[in-house]
Amino acid sequence: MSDAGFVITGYVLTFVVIAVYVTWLMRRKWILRKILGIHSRNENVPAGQLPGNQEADHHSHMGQTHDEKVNAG
Amino acid sequence: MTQILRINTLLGAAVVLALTSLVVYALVVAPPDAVQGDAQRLMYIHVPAAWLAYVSFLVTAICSLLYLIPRTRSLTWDRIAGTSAEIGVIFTGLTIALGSLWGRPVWGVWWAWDARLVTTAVLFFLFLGYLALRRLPASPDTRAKRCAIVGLIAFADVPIVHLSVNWWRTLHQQATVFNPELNPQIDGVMAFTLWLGVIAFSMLYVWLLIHRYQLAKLEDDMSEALIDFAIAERMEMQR
Repeated sequence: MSDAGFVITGYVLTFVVIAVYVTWLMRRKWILRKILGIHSRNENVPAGQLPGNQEADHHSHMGQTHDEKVNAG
Repeated sequence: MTQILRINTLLGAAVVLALTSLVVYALVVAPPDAVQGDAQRLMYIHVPAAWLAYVSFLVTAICSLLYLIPRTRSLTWDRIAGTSAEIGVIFTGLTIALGSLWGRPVWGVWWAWDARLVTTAVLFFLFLGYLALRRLPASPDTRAKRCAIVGLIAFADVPIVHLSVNWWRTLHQQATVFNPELNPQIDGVMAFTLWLGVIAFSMLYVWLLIHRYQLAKLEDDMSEALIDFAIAERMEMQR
């Protein structure tokens, strides 16, 4: 392979890696948001315990958020 | 929130613009090196990738330290440490791959047991282990504590990687910009292109970190919600 071949391979590799990672990131974010959103519309589950119900998630466990619970030890 | 989204979108557009400019400058505008010819053009992404990895691990170390200090303890620091380490591992791997592609035409080998190469590979595996540790089942606090300790220990390899070319006789060239004399051995369009690469990759890091952090938060919300859901189901069954 010529010098130019190595250079092109390097640049293509870099941008392919970045593109694959960004695609995975965005897709996973989209899927999780969708799952959380779908579950929050499930009327069979008691209010306040719904997966994806942001208000319920952050104020579950006796008024503490997930972070607060850990920070409180 | 809308403001953050807008800033992030603008940052994303700026990253695309900066990376496009980098490719144009690196492959078209910058002249070939007098000694290495066109192969040297790999420097414009190899060095920024290594820079991004260093910055990622530095952020991981700072956030780990902030988590270990009781006054500043927050799961936010743990999340940032984890997301930054993941980005760092990807770009350390990329740095090694790009170095290998550059080494083949210049040194005649894909890999050499050189101090810089070996310490970089050790760094890669150290943080790969750190990411594996994050996946071990544990309470968020236990996981955060042990990961913070391992993150700080693993970071100790970063200065060793950087200084390895000064401490040992290596095949790898010495630092061009951040050398001990702080006298950059690069000039003109080449220097501009290298700085453009460093700025573009730094912006890319910030953009990736924001999105990966948002994903980590969603993952935590999801697992928390699943626990709540399981508890609710169990209580419903007991009634």
